Amino acid sequence: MAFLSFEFLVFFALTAALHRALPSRFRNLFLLLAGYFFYATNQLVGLLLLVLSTLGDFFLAQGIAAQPDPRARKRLLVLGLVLNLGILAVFKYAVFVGDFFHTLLSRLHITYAQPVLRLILPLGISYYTFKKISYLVDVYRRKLGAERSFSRLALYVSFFPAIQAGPMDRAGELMTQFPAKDRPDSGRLVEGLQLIVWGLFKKLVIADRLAILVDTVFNQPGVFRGLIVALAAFAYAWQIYCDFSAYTDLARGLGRLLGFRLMQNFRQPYLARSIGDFWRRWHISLSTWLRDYLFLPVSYSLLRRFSRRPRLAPRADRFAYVVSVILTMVLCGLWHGAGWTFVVWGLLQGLFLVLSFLTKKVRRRAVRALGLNRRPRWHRPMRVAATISMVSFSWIFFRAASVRDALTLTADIFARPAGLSGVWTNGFFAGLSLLDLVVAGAAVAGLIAVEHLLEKTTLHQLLAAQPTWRRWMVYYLVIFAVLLFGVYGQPEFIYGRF
Amino acid sequence: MAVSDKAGSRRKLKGILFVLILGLLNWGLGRIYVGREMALSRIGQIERQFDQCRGQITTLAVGDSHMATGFDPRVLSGAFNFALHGETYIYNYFKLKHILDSNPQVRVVLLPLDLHSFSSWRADKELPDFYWVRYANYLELGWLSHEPLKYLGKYIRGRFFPYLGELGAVRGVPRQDRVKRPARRPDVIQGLVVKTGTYDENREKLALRRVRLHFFGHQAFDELVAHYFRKILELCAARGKTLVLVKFPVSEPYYRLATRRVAAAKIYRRADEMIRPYPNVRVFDYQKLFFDRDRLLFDDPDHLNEAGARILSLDIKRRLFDQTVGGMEAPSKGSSSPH
Repeated sequence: MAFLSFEFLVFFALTAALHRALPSRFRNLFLLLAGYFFYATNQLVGLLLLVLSTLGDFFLAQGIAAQPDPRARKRLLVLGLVLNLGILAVFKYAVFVGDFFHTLLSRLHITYAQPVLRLILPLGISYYTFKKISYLVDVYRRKLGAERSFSRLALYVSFFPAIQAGPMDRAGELMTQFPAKDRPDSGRLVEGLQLIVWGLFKKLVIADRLAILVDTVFNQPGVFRGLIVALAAFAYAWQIYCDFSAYTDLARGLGRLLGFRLMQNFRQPYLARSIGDFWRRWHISLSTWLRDYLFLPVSYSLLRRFSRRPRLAPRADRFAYVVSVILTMVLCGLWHGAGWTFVVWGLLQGLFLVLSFLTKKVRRRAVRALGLNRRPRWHRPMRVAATISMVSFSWIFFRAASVRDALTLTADIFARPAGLSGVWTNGFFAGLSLLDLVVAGAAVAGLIAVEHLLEKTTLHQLLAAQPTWRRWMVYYLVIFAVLLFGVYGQPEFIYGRF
Repeated sequence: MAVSDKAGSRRKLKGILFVLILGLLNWGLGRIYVGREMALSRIGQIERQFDQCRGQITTLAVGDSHMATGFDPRVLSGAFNFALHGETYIYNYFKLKHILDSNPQVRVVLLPLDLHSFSSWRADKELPDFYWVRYANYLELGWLSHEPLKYLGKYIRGRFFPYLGELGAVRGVPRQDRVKRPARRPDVIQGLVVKTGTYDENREKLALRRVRLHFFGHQAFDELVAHYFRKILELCAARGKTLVLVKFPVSEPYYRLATRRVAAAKIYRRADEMIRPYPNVRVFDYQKLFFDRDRLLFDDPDHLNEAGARILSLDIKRRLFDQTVGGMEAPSKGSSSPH
């Protein structure tokens, strides 16, 4: 059952109605079963893995919480981490690692028959694994008590609006909301519907339309000139943002209709003024997860080690930062997918962050020398443009089918930038008609304007502050834009594959 | 308390008003879209021509593009070609039932019986739902195909959101199946879709493309399509109509490649088994009729051009007259070929 399908609409309507009608004590179990049903319609085998691994984490967390001995607690935590990461490694990375070693050894003239692995990629495995790890670590750190109800924990792990692509709420934030207690009110309904319609607009009108242009260019590396490749890279930046944030909006909207509040996953990332700022705004549930459970523990540990070495001690903080940032971002890349393109993407992000950190003083001096610090109206757009350019450049590696393709596309940008040859065929611009281009351009421009407005408020508050007639005009415009200009027939989400 | 009740009632009223306006706008947009589509599309053109002939039709052709381009109703008085591109037996049945209800004077029904007639490609083929909701029973289709939600979705789309995702409707740029501009002469005559090209170049390549479209990745014999074929047979028998199944001529490359891909004998044997109990059914086999002239008489590997359609239609007329309408001889069972 695809998220964007009529079947899901019917399923959700029935689930929401029954959930509301049930007494509070049955709601968790009902939502859990509904979530498992949704999962099973997509992947029956994956459901077994989800249930068993959740059961394992449930008992491990009980053990960690009950154990007074710190060493024993740590051992249980390590066991939990090994189990969760082991499952993720087997199902997501086994083929990639196998291929890597096979290629490496064959270069050393050591050949062997590579076993053929036919593994499914369980739906949402990257997301629910990280959710479970954060739960175990929080219990270990005594930030959270071990959950005594399996259905509550299982519902947190498999909460169906967010199972496929997040957001990855922390157990302490989402689990405490189960079961939904508040009475149905029109405000919650309106807020949920606003998020859903806005999500549909981003996905169907912008993302899936831009996908046509992006696919045309990225599937034919070497065919188009640099200008078009650069345009496609920017288009992909908007496509992936609209696609992913649309999923988040839908998940949050559906959650709201059920009576829960999921975390905000994006905060206008393309208005970021630096790469660091970008990562505070992009995929917030992942970036904060990486910060709390990987970057900070690793950097503190490195800092302690480097501080003990006389040679490194004076700059221990810098070394610790650089190493942990690179490590975190490479792992962040790998989290997205088992492929070298994701590794390079993560590495690029890490390098950008490190460069941003190391050149901070130099840049500040340059800004002062140019007098830009006195002209924030000029300076800010320049910073935003520079950030979005770097991010879009790195997306080339994220989107390309292989590193070779990505390098070809990059070479096209710099080696032969000018010209539009091959881009107009039969009246279509890289697969898009003129009207599609106009719609995509207008929709992205509208989105940027809305993003500016949302810097200081939320969508719900922004709309609530408008007079009724204006609010309704916006509703009708967006609803009919979705119905009329939506590109239908592509129900998958990019981040649903991870 | 009273204030909050009043505010609650006001909110409810506003909500109802919002939904009403939304519904009204949606209805208006849907009407505009359907009106525009029916005015510009070939489907609409055929429907209008049919309406003009309503009550006078005695020979009715239904089917897919083979029938739409291959049977010229001008050769036979009281004939009308109501076939549409991509129309399967499933939709043929519903349409035929609808037409026979309001046109009891129809005596002969022509229907194609081709190699790809039972292919699941046809069952999956997308057709405009706003058109088919007028004829088809989506509830029955959903039940039989075990996909009730899919067909419920199609019904809702066809009935309430016909313009969904139809950006082209706004700009008014004609799609492939629309009449682009007033031509020197109409390209649809009594339902016949007139093709004027010849099949002279890239013959193998084009034939392979068509064979791939019809058979690759599809079941050659789809049970749902077969079920509706049976229902057509039952319908015609119950209403006392003569059903003529036409095996349309195809080009030599198409036939060769298609029979390499599918077991033609098996498909036709299964069709014959279904036909056998019905004495009102005739089969006219023309598949290889134009093998020696396929460059001239075809528009593409499996669609006749105007000249081909005329020659074929004259022969159909002659045989109809000989076998049924003229009453010269008693109807005989089974297949017959001009060769």
